Amino acid sequence: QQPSVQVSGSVKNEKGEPLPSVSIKIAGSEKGTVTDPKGNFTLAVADNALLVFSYVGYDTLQVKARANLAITLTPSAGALNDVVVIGYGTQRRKELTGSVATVTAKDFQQGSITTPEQLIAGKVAGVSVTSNSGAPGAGSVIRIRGGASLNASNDPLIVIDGVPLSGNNIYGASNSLSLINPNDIASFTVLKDAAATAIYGSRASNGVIIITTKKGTSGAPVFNFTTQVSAATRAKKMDVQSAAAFRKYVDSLGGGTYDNVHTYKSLLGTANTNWQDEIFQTAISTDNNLSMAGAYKNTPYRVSVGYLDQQGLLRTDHLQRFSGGIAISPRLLDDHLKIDINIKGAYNKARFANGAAISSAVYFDPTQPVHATSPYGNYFEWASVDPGSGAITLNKLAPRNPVALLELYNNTSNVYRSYGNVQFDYKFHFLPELHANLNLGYDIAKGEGQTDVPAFAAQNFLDGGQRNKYSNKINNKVGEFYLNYTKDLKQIKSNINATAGYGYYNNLSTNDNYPALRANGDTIPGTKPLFLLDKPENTLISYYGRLIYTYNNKYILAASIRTDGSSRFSPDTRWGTFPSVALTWQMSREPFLQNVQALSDLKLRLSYGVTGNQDGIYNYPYQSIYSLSGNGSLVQFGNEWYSMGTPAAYDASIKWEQTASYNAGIDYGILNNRINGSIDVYFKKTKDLLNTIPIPAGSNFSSTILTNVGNVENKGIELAINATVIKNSRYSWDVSFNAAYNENEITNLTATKDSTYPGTLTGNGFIQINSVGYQANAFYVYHQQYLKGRPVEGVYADLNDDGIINQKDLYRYKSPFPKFILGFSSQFTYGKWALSTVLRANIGNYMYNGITTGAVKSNVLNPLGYLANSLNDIYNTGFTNGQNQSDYYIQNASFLKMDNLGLAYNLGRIMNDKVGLRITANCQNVFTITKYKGLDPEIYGGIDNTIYPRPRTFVLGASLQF
Amino acid sequence: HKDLNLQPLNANTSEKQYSNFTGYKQVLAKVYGSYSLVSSSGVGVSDVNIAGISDAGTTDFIRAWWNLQELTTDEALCAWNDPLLLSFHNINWTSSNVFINAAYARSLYQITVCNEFIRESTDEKLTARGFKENEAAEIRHFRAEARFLRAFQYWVLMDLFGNPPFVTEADPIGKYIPKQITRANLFTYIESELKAIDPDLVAPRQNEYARADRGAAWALLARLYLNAKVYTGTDRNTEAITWASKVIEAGYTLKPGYKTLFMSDNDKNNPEVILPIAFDATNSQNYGGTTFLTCSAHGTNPADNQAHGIPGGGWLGNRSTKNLPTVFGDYSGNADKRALFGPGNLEVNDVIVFNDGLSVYKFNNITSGGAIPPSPNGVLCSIDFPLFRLGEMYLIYAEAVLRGGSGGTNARALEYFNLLRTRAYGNTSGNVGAITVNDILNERMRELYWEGSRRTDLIRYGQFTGNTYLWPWKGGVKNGAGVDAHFALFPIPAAETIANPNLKQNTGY
Amino acid sequence: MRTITNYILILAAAFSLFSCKKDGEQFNLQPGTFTTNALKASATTVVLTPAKENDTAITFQWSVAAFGKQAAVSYILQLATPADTANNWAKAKTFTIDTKSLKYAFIVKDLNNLLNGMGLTPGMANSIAVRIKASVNQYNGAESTVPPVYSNTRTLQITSYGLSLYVPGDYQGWNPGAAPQLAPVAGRAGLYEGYVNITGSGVQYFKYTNAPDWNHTNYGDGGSGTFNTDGAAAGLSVPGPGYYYLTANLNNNTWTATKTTWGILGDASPGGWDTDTQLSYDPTAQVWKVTAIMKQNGSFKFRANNAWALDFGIDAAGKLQYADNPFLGYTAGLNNLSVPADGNYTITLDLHTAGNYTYILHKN
Ligand SMILES: [Ca+2]
Ligand SMILES: [Ca+2]
Repeated sequence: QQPSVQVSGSVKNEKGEPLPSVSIKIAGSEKGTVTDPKGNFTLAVADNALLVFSYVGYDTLQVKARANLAITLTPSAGALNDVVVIGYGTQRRKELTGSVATVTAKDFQQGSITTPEQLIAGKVAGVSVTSNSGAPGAGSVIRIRGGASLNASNDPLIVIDGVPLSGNNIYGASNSLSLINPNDIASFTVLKDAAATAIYGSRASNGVIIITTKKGTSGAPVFNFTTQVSAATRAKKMDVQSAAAFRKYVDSLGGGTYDNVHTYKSLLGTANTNWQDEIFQTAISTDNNLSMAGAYKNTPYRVSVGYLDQQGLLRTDHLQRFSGGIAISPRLLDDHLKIDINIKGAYNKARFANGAAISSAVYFDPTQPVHATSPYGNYFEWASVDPGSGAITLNKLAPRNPVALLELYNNTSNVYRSYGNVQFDYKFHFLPELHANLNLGYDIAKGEGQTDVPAFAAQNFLDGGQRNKYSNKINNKVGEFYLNYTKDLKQIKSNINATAGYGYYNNLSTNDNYPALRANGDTIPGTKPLFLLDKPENTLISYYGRLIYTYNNKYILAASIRTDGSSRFSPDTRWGTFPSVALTWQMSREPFLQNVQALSDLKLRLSYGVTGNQDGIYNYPYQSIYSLSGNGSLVQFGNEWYSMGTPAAYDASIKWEQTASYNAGIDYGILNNRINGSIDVYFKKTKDLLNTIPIPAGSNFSSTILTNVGNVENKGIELAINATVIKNSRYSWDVSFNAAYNENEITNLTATKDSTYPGTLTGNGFIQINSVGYQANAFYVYHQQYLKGRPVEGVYADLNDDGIINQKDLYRYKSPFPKFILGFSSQFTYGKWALSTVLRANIGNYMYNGITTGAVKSNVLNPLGYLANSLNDIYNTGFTNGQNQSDYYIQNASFLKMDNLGLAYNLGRIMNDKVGLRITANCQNVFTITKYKGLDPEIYGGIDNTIYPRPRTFVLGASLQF
Repeated sequence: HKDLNLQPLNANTSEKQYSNFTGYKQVLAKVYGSYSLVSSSGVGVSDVNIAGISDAGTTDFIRAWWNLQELTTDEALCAWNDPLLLSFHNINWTSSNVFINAAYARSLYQITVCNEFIRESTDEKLTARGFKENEAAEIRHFRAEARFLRAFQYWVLMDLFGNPPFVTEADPIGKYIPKQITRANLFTYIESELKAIDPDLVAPRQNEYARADRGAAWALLARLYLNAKVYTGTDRNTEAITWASKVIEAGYTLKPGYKTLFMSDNDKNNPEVILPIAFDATNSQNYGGTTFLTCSAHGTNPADNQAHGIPGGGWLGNRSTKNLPTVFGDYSGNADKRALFGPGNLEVNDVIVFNDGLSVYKFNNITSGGAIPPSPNGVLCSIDFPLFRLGEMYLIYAEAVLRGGSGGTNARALEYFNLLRTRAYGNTSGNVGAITVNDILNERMRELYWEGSRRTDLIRYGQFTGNTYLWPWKGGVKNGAGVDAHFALFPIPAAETIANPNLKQNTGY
Repeated sequence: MRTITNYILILAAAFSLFSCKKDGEQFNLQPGTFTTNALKASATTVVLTPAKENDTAITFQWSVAAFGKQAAVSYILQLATPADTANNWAKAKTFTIDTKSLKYAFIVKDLNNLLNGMGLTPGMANSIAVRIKASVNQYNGAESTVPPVYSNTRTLQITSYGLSLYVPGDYQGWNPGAAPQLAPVAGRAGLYEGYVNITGSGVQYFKYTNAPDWNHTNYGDGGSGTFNTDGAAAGLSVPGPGYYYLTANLNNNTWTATKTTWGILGDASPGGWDTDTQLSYDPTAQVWKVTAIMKQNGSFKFRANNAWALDFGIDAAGKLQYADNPFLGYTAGLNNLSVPADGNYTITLDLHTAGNYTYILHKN
């Protein structure tokens, strides 16, 4: 027991006023007190103890305990002094001219997050992150402020440590981002408006996400070890008829014959199989990460390794990821030369389940058993038996046994990826205001895999099974060089910050071609590839410059320009120029606002800029190109077989898609920034859309062509609020809320103005349309007529009132894209406990319930010699035949989801202060409130055709620091 | 910035493609492959991507054309429960029927490929590219063949749609909006093209197998003139006799054994066929073509499927209305051996029950020697489709004579007619002493059923629309019902009237 | 703090937005209704005559059947005999009307064809019931589950005229009143056929008339087997005398003439299935005849011109029916003829009454 002394003192603010309720703690313990209403305190402490003074909105202060302490706390500049990465440099948050949002590690989504983009789901206004499915490693669709394009890519540009990712497909990885370990990521910066993105020029129309990975720190090495174990369960089942209900259905309606001989009823089995239970499992996963960060002399470093082992909800799905990273940041030449070296690598080993099992489990007859004596691996399969010879013939048109689809299908892959860069930043000795920055980056990957199906499996019976290989490599290179000159000109109260640079980006894939093999290794005739490999490649060359001029710390004018040349366009059209200009006014620094106590920060931002887009399209769309047809597609002349020289459709004048963006924003902080946030209003107008449009037959070598046609407008409002609701020595409660409203409208679609043009059909099953005056991908359907509350089969409203129902009665009904996207995060701490949650909502989005369209009698009782189950919706409609174009199937898919509910307990330093330990428990995908009748209302694009269900996951984790 | 001039690894720019003779022949292969295959990238991908069609096989030329020419008639009914196919039997299709678009787009695709080849093979270009005379002469044949295939596809479009868009080598590739042509003007164009290319085509029966020669051009002219009244309002039976005679006198002979015309080795020893579309289960794979004709006509009986060379096939699709078998009288095949029917009920009580309606086993994927040819999956077939053959020329001659054309004789007409019947019966027992115009229609049904001519024939005889002639499920009624005259032309696809503002829709749609 | 609470309230309000939002209008059909006496006819008594065959016989009009908002209603005109109305109009003749026009006008010849097809006796007034069926169909034309609704029934008195074509010609002095007739083919409106023994020598000319006089439509030669109804048109012709099978198709204005001689063929007949046993024509009795030794064990058929192009079998009732016929097509399911016992038979084939062909087997 150390000797204890009584200390006392008072705490004041910068203006000399006493501060009540200031938290005072003894460092390394939970002991402490708070100041009284007059700002005074007393506390018994050990000699030489350190006292920590903290108060919302003020910098935390550590002072050695002594008598009569007179403490003055200074207001913290808080987040405003944070340095934010922008393209080719950094800026202090309070001086930002663009609409930029940052999410750092402490605000990431919690729990079992295995792919990086999920870390920021629901965290940034105007950014939606929709995972494609619940499969391990599945990717997501990321949209910033809606999408600018119709047919080219709408994906934002992702830049990791200065290396823009190409988005090249890696074979054997369902999502190339799944090779990036989320645990290595320090922050996401989202650039939303043109003022922020235009420096990325032609690739910036859909926004830019800059990912910064964790770097070395200072001092002795600190080890961090986190471990998680999770159990993923099904959140919801498809609402199919049970075996008993199905039996009753077929018994009552199946008296007829399907082939004039046998009744439907006679096909019924005696088993009671819940096929969904047979194919799904509770999936156990573990994720372990170890890192070491510190500095060796002047060189900060960080080394990390990770191992993820994830099972899929769908049986046989399995992903393992081994990842590692090194970051070294030597500082040389008296800190004039800074070098940052980042190298990350990952190895994914995966087995992919046969996704066809999911829809098959919906449709497969529940009265049939999983296993039965059969030539198909002793799985039950629909087959006919010759009564005479007993010969068994597979019914090739029937759905396949879902369990056999899984168990007899073995698709495994091995994927390797490494990316990294080395960045040299040299501050000139003779002119320290001038920096030269050279960044060299790479992103290489290799994917390979094989799918094996035995010859006896019904799923590949005609081909004699399969043994198919696939593999590719990607090799992307980045070279960038820029000069930056920053100078304070005090005499004219000005600061200038000028940048000029050059960039070279080359994306090369090497895709191997293989013949299709039977299980016994024989090549299926006609499948031998003509070429063993293909090497699609594109290159972008850029010049850019930016000037930021600050006057009197209050007025900031920023302008940038970038010129990009793309190999995808012809020499006549390949260069595009993308300018931007922005103005920021630090209003709170004006004298007339300085006396407003509550207002700690107010800033107005205005910007305009032009960005481009060329991603997501074929590499050579402007060239007249002939390719040779493959084996199996040869033409007989005489006794010879000739490969066909085939012209591809092209548009010689294809060029950049361009988006002009306007943005007005306010950043605000009140009560010493205890409440802060921003409001943005934007308007984006995209012209010369890269649009795949139908063209008149006879005018090109395809029915559709990619060309520059059409205009789209997006406008919206974004709102972000961060608030510390409570903060005192025991409790704290932080909340943040963001909301975005986006409106999308197509304003032109055709080269010539034509008011009679209804639009371009889109979407899976062509149930959607792009039409002038409407949102992109509006549903295009018949208006269902009801009788006594039930939809009447095939009876639709005669909308044009001409007495007949035909395509002229189709109308545009709703859209898959939400009008509002909301996100809400909350963290409540009490002592060592922390309770956090994230909620998200989409409002105004609709979904085509495609899987339900199959719930009709003619699917159950079909003439093909098998029975098929259906969803229980068959009782709601009583439809005999599919009514795929009815608006009955367009359902409101607005939702509120609790993504995450987490509880953490911080044990603090244990084991003689050597180790910090924190234990967490999380539930992900906690609940969903929606009117949507399908499995999950959140499917990007608004077409629901058997999505791999997103699991509800329970996670236990521990993190140790030592 | 040379770094930005990138080209695909495995493909040629057009300059490179047309720099040598092999390159020309490869593009000629595409000119033909456009109607024999769905694409250059295998069976699952199509040259014509039509909104609403996911199965590339349905965009095959034969399959798309056959659907329109046969499912709309008494010769065939499809059991697939697809409202778009049902509308063919019911004769109530609309302009949004994507199967109609498949035939339309496929024909225009081939025309576009032909145009490109014709554009790139002018004498000036051949000279500029330095071809030697022997190669240039060959390429001139190629060019005439491309013009023939373009004329053929325009005939298809004229027959189905009446007034299609019109593009030639004079029009650009890009986003050009073609003009529409009237049926009568298109008739004149096809006629003049076929005559103009005559000197440049190879003599009849002298070209490589499956390539067009003068005989093919003459055969198309004969077909064109036989139907001239429908296309232009004026009979041209005399010309039909002229051109059919030229083909007949060119040395073609009937292939002995009618059924061997439709077997998997019909590319061998086939003196009858004037121009086939060649298929091969290994090299020219297609889920349209004769694979479709064979597999969709078979059910799930393993023994039957094995016996017809498609152990993996049997798609439960097409079969006949009773009007087809009963036109034979005795349809057992014992007398008239062209009656190649399988099991099924004569009556069709339910359109979507495959067993209702006799199966048609005309297309048969075994060899004439009884062997099953190689097939990767027991589904793909190797039978070549006879696009033009001598049998049809005989019937064109006879019909044109009976319709009052001059230049032929009744006696010759009867002789040709009886030549077909003699082959059909194996002896002269089926021969007749006199024939009427109506006899020709029935004989055409017996000789040419399922070869894609029935709709055109019924229209020529005034029996397609209206209620003069009925068959089960015509007009959507079991015993048949009259249908409106505007169905004698198909509508221009709705998607196309949208994309091409120059097109005026056919009356009634 | 208040501000924060407010925002949270806004958030909660926003979340609740979609739980009570209405998604557009639901269209609900009503059971259909016709107003009373919705169906009106332009006359109640109609007498049809061939002279006015292209005139309008009667016009029906009706009012809209209400099924609710923006329903596409199809109207079908039904005609039935009074007997059939009691039988749920099961055999009614129906006409589908162009959806937006609420009327239908019958042309005399169409209505006459229709009434003949209904089996009504020509030349006298018959009661015919007429009503409109209104239904909401599926978009593909199939019936929907929405129950149809019927208008009031109007009963009309209609007198139809008989339908035959007369074959006056050189061979009988161009006298339509005394000319042989071609009979309508049952169930095949506009088709006529029959046999005429044309005598004389050299090319023989004749015409068809649709009444036993020259005052109505006369069908002369339009070339290529078609008609020309101009009274001044040349006659139809055959190259020489003979026993002709004549046909007419008034739908597409074509005709045929096939000279026939008749025989029997079959294993019951002396020539077996290889050789036709010829019948000879008796112009007085207007029948074909032969006397031959027939076998009980076997069967035979009548056929013309030694070919399977025009031939007769018998139906289940033992009545002669065409098996092959170049004009009418093939009829399946017929039987061959047979004799009850071996022996010598006189076989008579009588084709002189168009549409009613008979035979006699007389054992000698
Ligand atoms: Ca309408
Ligand atoms: Ca072949």
